[in-house]
Amino acid sequence: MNRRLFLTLLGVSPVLAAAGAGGAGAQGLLTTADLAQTAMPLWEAWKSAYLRPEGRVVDGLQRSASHSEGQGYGAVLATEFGDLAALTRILDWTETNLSLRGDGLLAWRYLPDEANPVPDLNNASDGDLFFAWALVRAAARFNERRYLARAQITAQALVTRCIVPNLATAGEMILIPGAQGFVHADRVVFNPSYFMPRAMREVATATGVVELAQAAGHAEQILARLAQTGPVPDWVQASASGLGAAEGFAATSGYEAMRVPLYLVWSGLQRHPAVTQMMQVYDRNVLPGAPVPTRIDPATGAVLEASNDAGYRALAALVSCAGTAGQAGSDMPAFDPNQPYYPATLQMFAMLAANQVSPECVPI
Amino acid sequence: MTVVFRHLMAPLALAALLAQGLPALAQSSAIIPLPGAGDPAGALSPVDFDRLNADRLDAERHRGNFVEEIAEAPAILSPLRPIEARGRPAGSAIRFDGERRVLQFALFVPQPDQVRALRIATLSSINVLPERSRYRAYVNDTFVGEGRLENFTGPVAVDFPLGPATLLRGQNNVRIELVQYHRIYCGPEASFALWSDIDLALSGAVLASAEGLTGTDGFMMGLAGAAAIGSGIEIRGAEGLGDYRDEWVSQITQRISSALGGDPIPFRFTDYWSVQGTARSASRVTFLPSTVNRLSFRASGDGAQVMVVEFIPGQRPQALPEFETLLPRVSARAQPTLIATQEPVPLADFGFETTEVYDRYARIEQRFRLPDDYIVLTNDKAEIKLDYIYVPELPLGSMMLVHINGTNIRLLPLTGEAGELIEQFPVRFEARHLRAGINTLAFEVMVPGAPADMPCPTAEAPVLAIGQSSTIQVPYSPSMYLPDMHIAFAGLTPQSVVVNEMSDRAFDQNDVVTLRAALSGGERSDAATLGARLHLLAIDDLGSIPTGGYQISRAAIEAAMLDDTPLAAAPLDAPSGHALLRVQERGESTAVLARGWDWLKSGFATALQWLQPRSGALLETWLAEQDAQAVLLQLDPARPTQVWLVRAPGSDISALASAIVAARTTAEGPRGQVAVLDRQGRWQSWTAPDRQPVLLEPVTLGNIRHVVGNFVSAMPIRYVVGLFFLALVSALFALRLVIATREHRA
Repeated sequence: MNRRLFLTLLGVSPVLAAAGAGGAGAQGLLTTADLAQTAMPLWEAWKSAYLRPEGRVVDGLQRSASHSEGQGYGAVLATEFGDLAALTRILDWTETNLSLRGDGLLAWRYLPDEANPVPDLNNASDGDLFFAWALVRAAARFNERRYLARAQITAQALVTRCIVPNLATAGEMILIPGAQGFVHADRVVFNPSYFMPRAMREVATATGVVELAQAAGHAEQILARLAQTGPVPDWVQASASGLGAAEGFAATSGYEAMRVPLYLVWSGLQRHPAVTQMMQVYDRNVLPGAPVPTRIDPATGAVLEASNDAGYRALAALVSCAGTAGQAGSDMPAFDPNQPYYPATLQMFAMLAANQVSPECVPI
Repeated sequence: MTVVFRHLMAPLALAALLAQGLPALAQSSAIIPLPGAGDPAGALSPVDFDRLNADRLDAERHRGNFVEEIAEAPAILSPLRPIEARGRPAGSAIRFDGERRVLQFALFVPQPDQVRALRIATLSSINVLPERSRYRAYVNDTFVGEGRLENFTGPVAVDFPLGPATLLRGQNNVRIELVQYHRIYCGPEASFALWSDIDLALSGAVLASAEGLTGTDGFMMGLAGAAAIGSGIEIRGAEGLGDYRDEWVSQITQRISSALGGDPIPFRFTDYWSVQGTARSASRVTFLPSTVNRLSFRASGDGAQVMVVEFIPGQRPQALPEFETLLPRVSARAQPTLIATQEPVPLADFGFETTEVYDRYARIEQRFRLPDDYIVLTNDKAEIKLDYIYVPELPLGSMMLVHINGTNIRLLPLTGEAGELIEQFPVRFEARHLRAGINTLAFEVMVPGAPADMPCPTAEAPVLAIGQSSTIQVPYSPSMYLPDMHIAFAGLTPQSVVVNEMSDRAFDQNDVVTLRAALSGGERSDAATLGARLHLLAIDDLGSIPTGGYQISRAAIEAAMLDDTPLAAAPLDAPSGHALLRVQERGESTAVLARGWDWLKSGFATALQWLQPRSGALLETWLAEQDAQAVLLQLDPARPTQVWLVRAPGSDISALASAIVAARTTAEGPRGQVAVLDRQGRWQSWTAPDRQPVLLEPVTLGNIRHVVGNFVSAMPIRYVVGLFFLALVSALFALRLVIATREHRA
C-alpha cells in the first residue's frame, strides 16, 4: 500500500470530514483541557465504583461480570487520566484472565462466580479495539513501547479474524462483533456501535495495520447509509440484498446503538447523519429532570424505554451540543458514581469526547 | 485442562512478549501463536453460540437502572420561600409553634397556566388535636384551601387546586394561617408543646411539566428550590474569569441574595466536570468565556435552573449591564424605624398594628430604633401609654407582661375593667433598659386553661387587643457612645468582609462568598460612610485582634468553641492553674492554714472585683460557659467600626450567615464587646462591666446633669473612691492647717 493511499485511509472521507468541521468551541475560547488536572475527582469516583483493586472492571448488573469491553474502556480512561498504576492493574488482570485465545484477542467475558469463569473464548471486537487503542495511547503518554507491541498484535488479529467483506457493497469491509458466530453463508451480522472510527484510525496509524483505517472509512459510510431513515439500529445484517434488520434481533435502536453518535462525535464527525438523527430524537424527547430515551423504534422514532441514569443524559447532552453549530455549554449532569457501570462509563466517554472534540460543550 | 494451562501461560507469555521489541514480537510465534485459519475458540454450534452470547446479543435489560416504559415528565415543584430570615436554617422545615401563626412565603411561578395545585406538606407534634387543628392557605390573598393538621409520623402533602387566575407570572405571595389545639391540656404550658412543620422541599406550586421553565422566573424558582433542599447555589466556571473573578462573583451573589431575601443561601464553587453530591443541584450560575457578553437562562439536564453568563475574558462585570438589573429585588431587609426622643411616639409610627390575641399564650414583638449616640444610665424614666382591651371572665391568673429588650417592666393582670377600652394606661420603666440602636418591645399574654386539663374550647373571638395608638416616650440623652459592636454589625456590607493570608485556614472561598452575599441588604442607610469591617480570622491568628486593654486567650476562645475543652489548659505552674490541684500538692499538716489563706484570697479578689471589675477574668469565665459556633469580638473601643469573627471548626457557614442576617434587624443580635453564636443559633453577648461612655458633644448647662449622671452611673464606685480620697485629702489638709495655726511659736 503506497503512502498516498495510506494517508487517504487514515483521513476521514471527504464528505463527512467537511460536514464535521463545525464546532466553533464556545466561540473558540474554551480549549481542550488536561482532564487529569480538571476532572480527577470523576476518575477517582469511577475507579472507586467500578474498578476492583486487582484491575477487574465490574459490571454489577450483569452478574458482576467483566468484559473485554469494560477492560478496554477502563484502560482508555486510565490512560486519559495519566493513571499508570490503574492502567497496569487493568492490563495485568486482562492479560491474565481474558487473553486466553492465544491470538492476542481477548475472550469477551469473565464470570467470577462460575467454576469456569471464561466459558466462551469468542472475542468482542469492540473490547479488543478499545484495548488496543488504550495501549496505543498509553505508549505515547507513558513513553512505553511495549504497549505498542501488544497493540499491534491485537490490531493484526482483529484484521485477520474480524474484518470481513460487506456483502451489501462490493469493496467495503466490515468490522464484525466477534471472530465466531456473525458470518453466515448469505449474510454478515454486525453491530454498528462496534465501529469507533477514531480508535480504528489511531490504532492503524500507530501500528501500521492500515486495514483498520480502511475499515473505519467504510464504517462511516455504512453508518451514513443506515442513518438515512432514522436512528441507527443495534444490530444489522448485510447481505446481497443490502443492509437491513438483523434476523433474530429486535429491530430497535437501544443500549448498543446509543454509542454510535458518541463515537462519531468523538471522532470529530459532529455533523454525521447518524449524529443528526439521534440529536433529533433527543431534541424531541429530552426534558430537564425527566428520563432520557434509551430505546427507540428506528422506524417511527417512538421512545420505547427511558432511563434516569446520568450517563444516558450526558450522552444526549453531548450529541445535542456537539451537533448544534455555535452551541455553548451542554446539559450534561454531574457524574453519578451510583449509576450502573455502563451509563457511568458512557458518561466518562461523553466527557472525554467533549473535551477533545467539542470543548465548548462543557456542562452548564 | 487447556484453559488452566492457558491461565498459567498467558502472563508468562505476555511478560516475555513485552520484554521484547516489536520485530521480535512478531516472530515469537512459539509464545503467542499468530492467527491461523481456525479460530482458537474452536467451532461452536449455533445453539451453543446463542446460549453463550444471550446476554451479549440482548443486552437491553442489563445496561441501566430505572428503566421506564415511556418517559413521562414528572411533576415539577416550585417550592415556597420564606420571606423573613429565621436565623436558624433547620433543614427544609419551617416551624409554626404556639396556637396561631401566620407566615408569608414567596412563590415563583414562571408560567401560571402550568400550575396544577398548591401543595402543602405538614408534620405536627403528637400533642396537636387533629379534629380542630387546621391551616388555611392563601395565594395573593385569595383563599385556596384548608387542611387538617393530622400527620404525626412524617410529612404528608395535600394538593389544593389552583387556577392560573389566582397566580401572577413571577413572584406570588402565599400566606399560611395555622391554628392548633393541644389534644389534652389548655393553657400556656400546653401552648408551648404545640408545633407543626411545613416541609419546604415538598411544598409549593405543582407544575404540569418542566417545559418553558426558563427565564428569570424559572431561575428564581430554582433558587427557592436550592434553599428548600439545602443544596446551595453552585457557581461553575468562575476560574476562567481571571483577574476580575471576585468582581463578577461578588456582584452576582449579592444580586441573588438581594433578590431572594430570607435566610441566606450558601454558595459553592464547582468545576465544569464534577461528581454529583448528595443533594441535587437546583440552581446554578455558570460562567462561559465567549466573544460576547451575554446572559441567558437555561434548564440543565439535571433539572437545575441555570443562569449562563457568557463573558469576554478580561472585562469587568460593568460590560454586562443587565447582570446588575436582571434579577428582581424581592424583599428588602429593612432596619427598624428610628423614633424620636422626649415626645410620645405612637406605636403605629414604627410598624405596630392593632393586634388581637386569641391564644392562651402569645408573644407579640415590635422593634424600633434609637439613635446610635443614645445612652441613659441614670434612673430616668421612659413611659409607655397603653391602649388595650380584654374580654370579661378570663380565668384567674390571666395576665399580660410588658418587656423591653427581654426585661419585664410590667405585669398587667387581666382582671377588672374587662370589656372596656383602657386608654393610655401608663407603664413607666427605667430608661436604662433601652439601648442605642435596635430595641424590642414585647407583650406576652398568658391565659390559663379553664379547666387546664381539657382541650381548649374553640377560640373564634379574641381575648385581648392592643391598640396601635399606644405610645412610647423615651427621655433625653446627651450624645454619648458606649463601646458596643452593634453599630459596626448593623453597618456591615459585602465590602466590609476582610480576609488576610491566614483566613483561609478557617474560611474557604465558598464561605467568604456566602458571607459577602448574606451581607447585601439590611444594612444601615449610612453604612457606606460608616466603613464597618468584619475581619475573618483563623484561631491561629488571634494575636492580630486589638484587645484594647482587655485580656483574652486562645484557650478561652477554644473553650467556648470546642466541646469538652477545659479552659484551664495551661500548665500547673501557671498563675491560672486550678486551685484544687495546688491544694493537693500541699502537705496535710498545712491544709487548714492553706484553706484559710485561699478563703482570704478569694474574698479579697471578690471585693476587688466588686470595687474595680477586671474584665479579663470575667470574660474568660463567661466564654468557658458558652457552646459557640462562632465568636465575634470588638475589644478595642478605639475601633468601634471593626469586628473580628472566629468560627468553630466544622461550623456551618450557612447557619452563621443566617444568624448574621437575622440579627441585623433584631435587638437580639450581637452586642457589647464579645458575642457568641451558640449551637442553637442564638446570640449571647458579653458586655464589659468597666466600659466607659464617651461624650460626643460639648458639655453645656443643658446636658451637664445627664452627662455627669451617665459617667457616674457607669462606674459609681470609682467616683465614690475618688470623692472619698478627695475628702480625705481635704481633711488632712484641714487638720494640717489647724495644727499649723495652733503651734506655739518659739
